[in-house]
Amino acid sequence: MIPPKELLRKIVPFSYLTGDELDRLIGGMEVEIFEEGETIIKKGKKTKYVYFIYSGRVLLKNDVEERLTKGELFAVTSAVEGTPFNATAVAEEDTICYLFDGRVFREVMESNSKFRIFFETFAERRFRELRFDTQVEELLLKPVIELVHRRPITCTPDCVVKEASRTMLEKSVGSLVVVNAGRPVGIFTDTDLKKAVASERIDGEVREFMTPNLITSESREPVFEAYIKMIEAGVNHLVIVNGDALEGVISIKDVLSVFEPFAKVIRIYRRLRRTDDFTEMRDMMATVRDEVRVLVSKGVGFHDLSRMINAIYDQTYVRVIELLSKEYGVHRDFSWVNMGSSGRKEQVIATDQDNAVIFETEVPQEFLAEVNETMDYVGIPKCVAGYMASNWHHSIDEWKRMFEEWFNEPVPKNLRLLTVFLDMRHIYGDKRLYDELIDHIFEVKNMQALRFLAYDATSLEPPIGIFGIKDIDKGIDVKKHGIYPIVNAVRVFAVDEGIRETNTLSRISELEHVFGERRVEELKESFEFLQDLRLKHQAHKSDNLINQNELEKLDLVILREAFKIIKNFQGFVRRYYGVDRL
Amino acid sequence: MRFAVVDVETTGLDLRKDEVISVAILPMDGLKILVGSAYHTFVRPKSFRVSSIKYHGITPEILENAPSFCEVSEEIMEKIDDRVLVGHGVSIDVEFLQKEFGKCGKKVRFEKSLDIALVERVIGEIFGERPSREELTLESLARKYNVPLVYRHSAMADAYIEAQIFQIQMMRLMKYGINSLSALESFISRLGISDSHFIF
Repeated sequence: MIPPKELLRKIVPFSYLTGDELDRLIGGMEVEIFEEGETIIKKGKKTKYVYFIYSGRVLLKNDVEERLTKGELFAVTSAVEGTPFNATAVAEEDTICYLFDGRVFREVMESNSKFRIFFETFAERRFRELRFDTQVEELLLKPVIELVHRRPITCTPDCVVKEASRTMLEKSVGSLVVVNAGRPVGIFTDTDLKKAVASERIDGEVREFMTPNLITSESREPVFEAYIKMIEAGVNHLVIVNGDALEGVISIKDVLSVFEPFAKVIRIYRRLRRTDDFTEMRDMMATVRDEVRVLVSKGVGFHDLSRMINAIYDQTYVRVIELLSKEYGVHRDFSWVNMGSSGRKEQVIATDQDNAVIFETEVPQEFLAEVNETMDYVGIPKCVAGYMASNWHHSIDEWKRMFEEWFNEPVPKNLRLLTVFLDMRHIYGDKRLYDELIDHIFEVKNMQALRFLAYDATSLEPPIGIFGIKDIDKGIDVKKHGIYPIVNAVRVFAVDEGIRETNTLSRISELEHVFGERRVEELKESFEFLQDLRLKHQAHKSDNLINQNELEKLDLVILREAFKIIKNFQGFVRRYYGVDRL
Repeated sequence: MRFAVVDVETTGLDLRKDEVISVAILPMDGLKILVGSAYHTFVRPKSFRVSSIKYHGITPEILENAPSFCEVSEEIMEKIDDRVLVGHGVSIDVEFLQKEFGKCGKKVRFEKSLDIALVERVIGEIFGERPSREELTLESLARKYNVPLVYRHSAMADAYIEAQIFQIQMMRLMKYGINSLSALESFISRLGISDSHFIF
């Protein structure tokens, strides 16, 4: 086999192609070398070829410059659709490219939807579509045997209905597999039992009432096919076999549970609202943490998880404060606020506490300390930096005065405090105090401080260099280099525009009039992708350092793209706030 | 400049006894490798030395079902067209091909061929580095030019590796102003580095 084929079939998106499709593509392929400084395509010219960079470096010059390196593709749209190329491509060093015939490329795109969607996704930078596909696929394509959790409960055809119902009750199952001489011959379900009872024949034999035509599924069959079988046959139970051997029974509920991975966490949420026992709360929080790992492994993404988990954390706060208020005889006339990832509703795996209190009349210090202690006990650790209500409780006037001071004197310490407290979100108590403070913040904010905040937000760049992602072999801190730069810069714009929302994704949406539609989409996609990546990583490791070998090929491609988007966004932030003139 | 990178696998190196068992041809137009036009065939030899199976990774079954050289000789001629043959130690490939054509009653003489080891010596002269024999092996050249050595000992993979090396070599020479075959020829004769092993 020719080496380029061996190379291509291992890399995304060529790895999606069948052997035949890859052969067609390679049938029209050429390998060309470009000298340093040589123009590969001129802006506005049509190109017959799709270019894949085998080695070297290419500069795309348009309004903005973009550098492409090894493994990247360019001129896809132009070659496939026969439209002029929208940039000038220059080899920045000696560069070797694989050239694919645009017409053949188009044919392959038409015959292979996954391949086509890859390019559509990157042209529009909607990464979720690509990833969502794989998640749903993984869920629905897993073998049905994975839904079987215990050995099937069986009975013989001559078993008496009354006995059968007792067994069902004892083993708490909704069906019995009727077995004759080791072979399954039918199924006796709740419905069959009702039929027996209705005809007053509970002393009859199971064989009279069982459903004899067994609907079975082979153990390796995918879940969705089993589901379709049940729907088509109108049954609620499916017997899983492996050849002749009986493996188990699944119910429609088991199948639906695949589609409803949140069911368990929602149950915990309901229980949390009623409990008045801190030990029970602590256990529930531990279950939530375990459940998050399960959900992450099932492919549930940051977007859905964070929404759900934050509701649970909020509820825990409310419950703890409520219960302790009673104990301490404290009134509801204060606003408890959370900051940090909880303030932004971006918490998934519990981070430290970040909270404060705004009051009108003094709240007892012992009470606040007790809330912090209790939260620590139930599973949300105390904040090392001390950003907790026991330290940060001030009257509304005091808070107003502090914000004024922080804005007016943008020294590093005050900028840090602004970064922390500008994400505050009301959790419990009198929300009017919180609203009053936010109104005041929007009144006293000043441009000079915002520019300094913008400067801070752009000081750490994503690790993308002219050779792709830097230090990927040593591990990349996606929080520091990807998530924070977005969160911090977006906060500046939100405050500037008087947006009360604290959630980063919602802030981005509300900032469309500043960012423009395309940038809004790009940022949201990148942010969610990075959060997803971090989530997957944290399901088994407690740091934020992501290593190359834990990334799927596609993830690596998207990560590079996401970093480019962030880098480009930082350029926008700098220009918008005149950061370079500071 | 039209080239054809050739790599021929044989049962051994004895031109009198040994036979061709696989031919790969990779055309190049200028510095462009026409991967889509690559040609490869196994060839059924009259007698096959089992001892070389391991070396080539070619099993007797593959060869038993392969066409004879005469059956594919037309195709091979078409692919080569009148391109300049390029390869590593290409003179041996050329000799074997001429012999096999001869056995089919076709008198073929390839007038021009270019050895990438010789090209490397030219580059050495230009840049003042005299490569030793060891530095002229295919492995050494591939390492020098960062060409990955994959699937060695398959004629097609070797031809591709040689094409990639040649591509980079030619670009270097072009940067130096040698941008035609005749310019290269005259440079070689001026330097007098052509020897019997690097037949032109």
